[in-house]
Amino acid sequence: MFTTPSPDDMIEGVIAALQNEILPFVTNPKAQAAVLISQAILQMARQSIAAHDNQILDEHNSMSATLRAIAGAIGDTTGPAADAIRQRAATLGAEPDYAPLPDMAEAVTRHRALSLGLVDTLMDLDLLQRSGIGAADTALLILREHLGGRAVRDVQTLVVGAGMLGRG
Amino acid sequence: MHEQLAGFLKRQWPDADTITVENLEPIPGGYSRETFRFDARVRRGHAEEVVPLILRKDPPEAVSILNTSRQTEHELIEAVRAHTSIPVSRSYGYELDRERFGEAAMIIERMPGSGLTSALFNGGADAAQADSVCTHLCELIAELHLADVEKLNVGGKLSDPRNVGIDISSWDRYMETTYEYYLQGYHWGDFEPLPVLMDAYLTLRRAKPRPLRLSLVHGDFNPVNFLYGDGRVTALIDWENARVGDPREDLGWMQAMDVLSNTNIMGSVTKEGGFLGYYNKLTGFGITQEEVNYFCLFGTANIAVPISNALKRRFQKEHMELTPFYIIQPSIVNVLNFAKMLGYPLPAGV
Repeated sequence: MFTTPSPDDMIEGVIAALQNEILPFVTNPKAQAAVLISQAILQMARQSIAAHDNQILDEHNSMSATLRAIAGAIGDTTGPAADAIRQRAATLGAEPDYAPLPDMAEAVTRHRALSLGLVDTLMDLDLLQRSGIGAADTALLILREHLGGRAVRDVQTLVVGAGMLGRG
Repeated sequence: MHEQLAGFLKRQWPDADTITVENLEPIPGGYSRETFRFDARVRRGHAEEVVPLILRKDPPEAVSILNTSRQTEHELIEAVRAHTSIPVSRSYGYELDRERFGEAAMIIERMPGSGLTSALFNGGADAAQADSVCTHLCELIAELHLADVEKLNVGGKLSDPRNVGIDISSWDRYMETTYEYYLQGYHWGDFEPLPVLMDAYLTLRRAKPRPLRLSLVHGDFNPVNFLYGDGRVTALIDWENARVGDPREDLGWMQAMDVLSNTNIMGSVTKEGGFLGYYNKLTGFGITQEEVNYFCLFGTANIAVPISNALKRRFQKEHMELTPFYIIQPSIVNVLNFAKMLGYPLPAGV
């Protein structure tokens, strides 16, 4: 494997070429916008590649811990939704932490499964909340704390100009 | 394209001797429709006039975000022109036959005024007009919300224009069927597990606000969907997402897009306690800031469903258009906005 040029060097090179060698010769406004959008997407890819593996690892471990904490928060609450939350903590939530990251394809599959587990947990918590079970409020707060941190980090990592090119 | 446009206009204006299409060029920006500006040079006898026009064309079905009807948009625009004083581009007709323009299309008047609305804010060139323009904008959306729904909802086509099971027989049924649409729509657009969206949809259903009369809502009332000049709004544009709904949806969506666009429509009205206070005085609706916040989330959900659906189609490679990779950026920002609106514990300073 060559280390130079790196994948980042190559993407940066394409961004520069779009700016210097292509954009000056594009006269159609829609095509100009497409060039700028392409540059933004490539920049997003650079930022994503730099952070991807570490964030997958971190979020895997954090999601497992969140599922266990939610099961703890609902305590002895009874019923199918509460049972489903406990079952999820005993399966998805029992996965050992990654350190270091295993095979990336497997990690992505597990990340998706855990994220789906969070969605299912939200639906279960909704059932509990609508039944007036106060412990579900606490459990939801635990989940929101996890999701909020991810949302902030996604914006910091991935967003380039907020996708508002050409709008006003 | 020139010949098709001239032919279309000739069918609309049979009294014209000749029609020549000039200066045809695409208008960049916007995600949902392809728009082109052009002039029609129309000769009738010895008289000649140049009519400024816009062609609004559907994108190919596979890449479309909102599958709305140009015929319905045409009928709505003409109803708004007939029954309100809201400045809106006249529609010269629609063409549903894809053979003519490649996709369904409509031709509308190109209204005067600037569309560079960011110049009204943050010390921009037109900042001195911001108060009067935003005050006028407030008056226009209030007028729309007070207008007779029956007159604007031509043929009932705006009761459920997306054909997703919305029932407008009462406010309560409208809200319940919209919640069902959001929750079902989550699965149409889950290209990735999106727990924050699911949380938003479930929370909306749990926290239903007080009822209010249903109105004709613009549906995309945001800081770029109007033109202005000389301190007035010269046109309210882009009516494709208009429908019968809760009037608070338009206020909530404007608030959401104000943040995303770094504009300040809602904070630029000095009259009567600001945009919301003035709107309440005009309508008598007594809408609270908490209700606007709720509908900020509700309105964002309303657009999140079709956008997520469009992104999923692209990421499943139903087509290979570039734009969805770009649209994911405002979607990521919107996830954080959802988190803020839902009161998530977030790091300080976010």
